[in-house]
Amino acid sequence: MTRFVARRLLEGVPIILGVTLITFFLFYVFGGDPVLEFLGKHATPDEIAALEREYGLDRPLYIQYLAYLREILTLDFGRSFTTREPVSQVLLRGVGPSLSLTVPALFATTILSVSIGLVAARFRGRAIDRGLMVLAVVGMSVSFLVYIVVGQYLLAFEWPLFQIHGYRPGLVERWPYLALPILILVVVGMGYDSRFYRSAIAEEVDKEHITTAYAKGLGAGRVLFVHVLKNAMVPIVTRVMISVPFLVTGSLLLESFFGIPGLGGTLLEALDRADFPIIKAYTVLVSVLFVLTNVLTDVFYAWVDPRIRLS
Amino acid sequence: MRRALWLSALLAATACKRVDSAEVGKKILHFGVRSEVASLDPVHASDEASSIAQGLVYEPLLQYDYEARPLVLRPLLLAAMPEVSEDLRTYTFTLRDDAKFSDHEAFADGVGRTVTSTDVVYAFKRMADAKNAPKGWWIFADRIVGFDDYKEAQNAAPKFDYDAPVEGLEIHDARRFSIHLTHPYPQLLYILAMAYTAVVPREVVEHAGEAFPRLAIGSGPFQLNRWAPGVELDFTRRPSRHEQVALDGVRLHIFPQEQPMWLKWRVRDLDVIIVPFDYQPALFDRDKGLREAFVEDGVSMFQYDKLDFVFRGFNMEDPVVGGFEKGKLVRKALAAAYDVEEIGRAFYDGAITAYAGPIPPGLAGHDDALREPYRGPNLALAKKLLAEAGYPGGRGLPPIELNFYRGGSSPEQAEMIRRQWSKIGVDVDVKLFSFPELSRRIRDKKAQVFSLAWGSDYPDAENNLAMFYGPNAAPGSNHFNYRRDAYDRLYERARVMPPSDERTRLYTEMRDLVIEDAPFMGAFARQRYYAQNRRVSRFVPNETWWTWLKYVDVEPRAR
Repeated sequence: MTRFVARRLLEGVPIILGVTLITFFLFYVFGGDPVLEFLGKHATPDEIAALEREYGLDRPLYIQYLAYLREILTLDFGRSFTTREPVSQVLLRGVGPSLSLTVPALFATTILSVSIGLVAARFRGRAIDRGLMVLAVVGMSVSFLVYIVVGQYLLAFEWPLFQIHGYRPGLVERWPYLALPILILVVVGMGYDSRFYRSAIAEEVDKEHITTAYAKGLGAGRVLFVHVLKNAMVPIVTRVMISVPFLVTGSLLLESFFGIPGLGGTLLEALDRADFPIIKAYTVLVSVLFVLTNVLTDVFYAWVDPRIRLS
Repeated sequence: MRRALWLSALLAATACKRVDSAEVGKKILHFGVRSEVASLDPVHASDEASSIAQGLVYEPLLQYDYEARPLVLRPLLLAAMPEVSEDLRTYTFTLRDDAKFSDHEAFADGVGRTVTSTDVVYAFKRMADAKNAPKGWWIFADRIVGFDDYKEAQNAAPKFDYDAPVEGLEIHDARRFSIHLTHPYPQLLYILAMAYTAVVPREVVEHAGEAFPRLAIGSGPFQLNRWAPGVELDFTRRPSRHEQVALDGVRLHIFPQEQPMWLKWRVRDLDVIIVPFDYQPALFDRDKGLREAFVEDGVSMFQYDKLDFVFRGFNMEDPVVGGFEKGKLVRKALAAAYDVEEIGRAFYDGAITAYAGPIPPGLAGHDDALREPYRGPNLALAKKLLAEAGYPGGRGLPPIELNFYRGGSSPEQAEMIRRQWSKIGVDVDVKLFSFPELSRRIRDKKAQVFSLAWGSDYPDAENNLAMFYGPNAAPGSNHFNYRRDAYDRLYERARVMPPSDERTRLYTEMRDLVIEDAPFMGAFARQRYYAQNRRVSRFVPNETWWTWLKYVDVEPRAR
C-alpha cells in the first residue's frame, strides 16, 4: 500500500504544477494590477516601479514563475500585497472558522441524506419515496443565494432564533453564529445528496444477496444498515471525499453573508484586491488537497470493500 | 434525548442574546462598515474602512471643526494654527504639551510618552520610505525643500536613515518645528489634516516591524482592544487624554454584504450605518423623508453630499473619441445622447446631483446653475454632432468600447448607456473588468471610454483640477490623457495661490476649458444617507476626515 500511495502522490505532482502554471498565467493576463490597486489613485510612475520591484513583478515572467515554485517548495508565500501580513498567517487564521462551518455541515448532511436515501430506497416507488424525492428536487432547484437571503431574513430577523451576523473565536462562543449557516448548508446539500444516495442504495437493494438476507428472516433494519449500507459505501465515500477540499476552503457566499472569517471570504477579498500571494497560496492549497483526497479515497475504497485491491 | 434538549435550549438562548453583558451601562458606538480594514498604518490610509479605524487611534496635526460648514480647519495636535511666512513658503508649528501616545512596551516603563516635533518629522519621513509602500507620497512630492532628494538618496542607500536631516523639515525644540516649502502650497494645511500625516511613535514602529500595520499605538482617543479580521474591530477609550470624549468605546463591524448590515441595524445591534442604495426605498418615502414607522422608532438620518466626481471618461489619445477635432464632436454627441438623470433614478434611487465640469458642489469654482451646452438627453443635438463628425446616423463609427467595473450595478449601468446611445445609431461593446483590471487598462491607455469615481482628498477644487493637468497623464491621475497648454498654464498659476477670488476665477476658467473639450461626460456627485437609531446623538458625519467619531454620543446600552 505504501508503494501505491507514494506512486499516486508522485502522479499528483504534475497536476499541481499544471494548476499553478495555469493560475499564474491567468492572473498575469486577467488579474489586473496589484500595484496600482494598492497605491491607489495618486500612484506615480516612480512609486509604481518601486513597488513592482519590491513585489518582484518587474522580473521576467519565467523568473516570477520559478520564484512561485520555490515558494511552494518552502511553503513560504511571502506577504499579502494588501495587508502586508505573512500569507501563511492569513490562511491559517481562516482554516478554523471554515472547518467549524463545513465539517458539522458535512457530517449532518451525510447522515441525514444517507438516512433519507435508505428510507426512499426501502420504500422505492411508493408515496414516501416519491414525496422525499420531490422535496429533494425542489431543494436542489432553489438557488443557494435564496436560501441564504431568505433564511437570514426569516430565521434571524423576523423570528430571532439565530444570530444575524458575526463570529466569536471561542470554541463554545462561535456556535450561536454558526448554527444558521450550518443549517442552510445542510438543507442545500441534502437535496442533491439524498437523491444520489438513494440511487446508490437502491442499486444494492436489488441485488440477490439482499433477497437472500430477507429470505433468511433478517429484519428490514438489519438488512438495510448492515448489508445494504455496507455495500453502498463506495459511492458514499466518493461523495464525501469529493467534499473534503471544500471543507478547508470554506463557503464564499455563506462566510460573506454571515461574517464568518474563513478562507472563502479571504479568497473573495484577495480576488477583489488582486492580492496575488494569497491567491497563489490558496490555489496550491486546493490542488494539494484534491490530490491528497483522491489518494485517500482510493485507500478508503480498499478499506470499505475488500474486493478492491490497491495496485 | 434529555442532553439533546438541553443543548438545543442552550443554543437557542445564546442565539437570541444580542447585547454583550460587558457592554451594559456603557456608551459603545456600533458602526457598520462595508469592507475589511486593510491596514492601521497611517501611511496606507486610503480606503474608507481603514481611514475610519485609523481616525480613532491616530491624530494628525489638524482636523476640521466638527459642526462648521463649509469645513474649517482647527488645531488637533497643535496648540494653535501655524504661523505662515509672508512669502507663504514657511509654516511654523507649536505642538500642544499634553498629547501622549497610548501605552506600549516599547516605551520606557511601558507608558506612552508626550508627542514631540521629532515624532511629526519621523511620521513625514515614513512617507518617503519605499519599504513602507506608502500610498500618499503625492502630498509631499515636489513641495518641501530637500525632501525629494532625501527620499531618492535614502531609498537608494543600503539602509533608510531616518536621522538624516531634511532641509525643509526644521526642528526647533520638542514642541516647535517648521516646514519650508519649495513654492507656495496652500493645500498644505489640508494635507496636515489627512490620515497620511498622523503622528506615530518611532520606538513602537521599530519594535513592531512588519506587524505595525496590525497595531495601533497613537495619540488618539481610543486604543485597539481587539481586531477580529473580517468581523470587527473593538476600540476602548483611553483613560486620560487631551480631549474629553463621551464614548466609552467604538466597535466597527465589517459587512461585505448589505443585507446583514441592514438587518443588524434594524434590530439595533448597530447604532449607525451608511444606508445602502438598495435599502433606501425601505427607509425613505418618495420625498426622501423617513417613513413613519422609523420616525416612531426614534430613527434619524443625515444626508451627506459627497465631494464626489463620478464620470464616464474618454481617452483623449484614442483615434476615434480622442483629440480636439472629430473626436471632440463624437464625445459631445455621446454626451448629448446620455441621460445621467435616468442613471441616477435607476441605480442611485435619485440620490445624485448632476453637475457641469469637474468641480463638485460645495467647492469654490462650482456653479449649480451651469449646464454643458451638450448636456443630454438631447437626441437631436447628438445626431447633429455625430453627423458633423462624419458619422451620420452612426454609420462608419466603430463600436464604442465601454470599460466598466464588473461589480455593483456597473454592468447594468453600461447596458443602460448602450440603450441610450443606440438611439443615435451608436453600437457599444461593453467590457467588464475587476477593479484592478480596469485600473490597468486605464493606466495603459487602453480604455477608450471608462467609468470611474474620484473622491476629493480635501475641500479644494485643485484636487480635481489636477486630473486634467498634462504632466499627470496616465499612469498618473489624468486618466483622460488630456493635454492643453492653456489649461496647464492656468493650473500652474492657480495651484500656488491661497484661496481668493482671483484663484476661483482661474478655477472657473479651467473648468470651462474642460467643459468645452469634453474629456468626460455626465459628472455627478452621490448623496449618502447615514441612518442612526435613537441611542445616537451629536451625529454630524463628514467623509473628508475621519477623526470625528469621537464627538458622537450614545446612550448607555441597556440589557
